[in-house]
Parts: sequence; C-alpha cells; structure tokens
Amino acid sequence: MNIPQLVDELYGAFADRIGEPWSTSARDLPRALDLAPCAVPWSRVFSHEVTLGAPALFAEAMPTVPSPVVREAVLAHALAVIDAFGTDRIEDDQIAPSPAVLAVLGQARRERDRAVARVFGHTPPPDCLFSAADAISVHAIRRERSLLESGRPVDMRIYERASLDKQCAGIVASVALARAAGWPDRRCAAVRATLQNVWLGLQMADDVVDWEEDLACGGAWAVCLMKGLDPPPPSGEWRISTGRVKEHVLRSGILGAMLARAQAHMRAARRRATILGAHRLAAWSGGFEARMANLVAAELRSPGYAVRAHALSAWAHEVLA
Amino acid sequence: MMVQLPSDPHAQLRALYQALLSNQDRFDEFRRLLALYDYDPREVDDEPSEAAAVRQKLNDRISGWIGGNFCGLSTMQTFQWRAIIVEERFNVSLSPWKESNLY
Repeated sequence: MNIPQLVDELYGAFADRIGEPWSTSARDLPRALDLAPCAVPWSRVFSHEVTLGAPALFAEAMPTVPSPVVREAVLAHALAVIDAFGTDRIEDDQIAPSPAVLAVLGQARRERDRAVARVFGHTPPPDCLFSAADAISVHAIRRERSLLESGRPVDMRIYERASLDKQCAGIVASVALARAAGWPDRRCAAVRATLQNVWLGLQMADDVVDWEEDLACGGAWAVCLMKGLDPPPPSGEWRISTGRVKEHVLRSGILGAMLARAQAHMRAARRRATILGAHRLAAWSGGFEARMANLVAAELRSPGYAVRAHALSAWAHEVLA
Repeated sequence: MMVQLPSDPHAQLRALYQALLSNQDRFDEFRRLLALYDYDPREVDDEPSEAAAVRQKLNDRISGWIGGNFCGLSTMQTFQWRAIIVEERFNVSLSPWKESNLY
C-alpha cells in the first residue's frame, strides 16, 4: 500500500466534497497553516508516512479487515492530525486564521467524526470518540503555552504528559481500527502505547532541534527541563540572563538527554510494533531509533550538534549529495 | 584543528560543512556573519562594499577553519548559505519542510 498516495487521495476527495469556495482553501491548508511554503499535497509536508497514515501501518497486521474500513480509519486519522496541527498553531498564535481556514478545519472535524463512525458501522465506543480527545488537546495546548512562558522547571514526566495530551487525537483512529478488527483490549492498548511512543519520540526530537526558535517565540521545553535537572540556585530561583541561556542549555546536557529519551521511545515503539505484526512501522521506528542513537553520541561529543546538523541538513542535501 | 585543504571546490565545501558541524563557536560566528550579509545578487548586479567586506571576513574565517587555500564563497554561495542558515529557507521540492513533527 502506498500510504502517502492514499492520504493525498483521501484528502483530495474530502476537499472536493466540501465544495467551493472551501475546496480551494482545503488544498491550500498546508501553506495557510505555515507548514509548507506553498500549496503542496500533505504527503509532501512530512518526510515519512507515519504522521498522517498511522492506521494503515497497523492494518498490515489485520489482514481480514476490508480495505474500505482501513481507508475510513486513515481518513479519520489524517483529518484529526491536520486539525490538531491547525488548532495548535491557532491556539499558539503562530498563525492568524482566516475564516476559510476555520471553516475547513470545522469541516475536517465533522468528516473525521463521520469517518470513524463508518469504521464501526455505528456510533463508536467511548474510547474511539474524537470529542474527548479534542477537549484534552486544547486544554494541553493552553497549559503548555502558559508553562513555557513561565519558564518554570519541569521534569520529564510533566513534559511527556503535556506532549501526549496535546497529541492524543493522533491515537483515536488507530485504536478504532484495532477495535473494529476485533482485537482484544490488550492488543488495542498496545496500539495506543506504540503510537504514544512514536509521537513522543518525534516530538522530543523536534523540541531539540527547534529549541532556540521555540525560545524566541515564548518558551522552550529544553530550558524548562534543564531547570528541572539541576538543583535550583541558593536563592531558590533560576535567573539566567538571556544572552547566557544557550550556554547553560548546551552545558547542561539536556539536549542529549532529550534525544536519548526519544531513542528509548522509538525503541519501545519498534518492539511493540514488531509484537503486533506491524513490521513496516517497526522498521521505520528502528530507523529513527538508530538516527537518534547517532545523534545522542554526537551530542555528547559536541554539545549543540543536533541543532547544527538540522540547520545544515538542507544545505547538505542540496550541495553535498 | 586545521586540516589539509583539498583543491576540489566540492571537497572544500564538504570540509566547511564538517567544520561547522563539529564546532558550536564556528557555527555561531558563521551564522552571525551571514546575518550581516545584506545583499541579493539576483536583484542587484554590484555587491555593495559593506557586503563585500562581510564576505571577505567570512572567507578569511573559513580559511582559518579549514585551511589557507580556500577559494572563497562567491556572492551567490554566500546568499544561498544565508537563506538556509539564517532565514531557514530552502527548496521544498528537495528537502521536506519539516524533518520530524511539530505534532
């Protein structure tokens, strides 16, 4: 199955269905959400198929589930994730949404809910409803913003909880597909845990390479986690001059610790996906895990390596390839 | 540590890449100098003297990092480096907009 192609096909059909003038706005959504510099298909926004096509990767282990049911789950998932991106960017004031963007996201939520109902052929069970995930996600986005702006110390547990809550809509459709396939509770829980590992791993890697940009926009998890690592100064409060934050972060080793945690999550995702029979997802997770392992080693040798490698990667791809 | 600089321009760029990747101070200085390079060779033919001075300083620093025979970044190369490193712009058809996830 060509998952990126499937995502583009399903999203294109959604854009056609909602009619003009929203169809054009729907196709322009990656640009309008500032996820791409121009209107491109969703498959071009990310460098892998997991973010928008996760249910299809679990479907590898569900040979008896009819293809139309898998397609409904992928549609529900892709629209849920796209809406979550949009909501995050709007709530975070990263973009000023036009009425058209708000209308398309509203349509996406309605289509998402209808698609997950079609997975079951009736009203989904409570743990497969997006409405609960929506509420948790919006609350988490606001809490995250408040916490990052305060710059207060946090530990990894608080960080991971906030990250998972923000991303919880990205789990619903895959669990729904597993339930529709007749998988027992234990396997459905494993699907949930696998995706939690994947989303946390991706988020942490992103929060490392973007930490300076995040800080400039109001706050960065790397800074809060660094403060949570070290005992506070005798005054009981962290006071780091703006010009020295980078020096403190690099010296603290927190970036390497976050990358190591991302590696551990991807390792767990690989193992769980293997047990579930989702071998394509397992292979992808394993590849990400290996990249994280290399970055952790490089970050230990040379603090700031991951950020530099990310900043130089576009140039390297184009000039050194 | 200075390395023996290869004569192949492509190999020199590779050496510069490695020099930047392996050292935070170099990377920060490189980015700071690029941010000062205020010239778009696609729009104006002649490089202003201020921009030329910045590029000269940049090339001097790079020579110090990777070896004395560095042939120097051209105006267009400097402009492209600035687009990628300072403005974080690059060709989306060649490189995904986001490597991982915001999500």
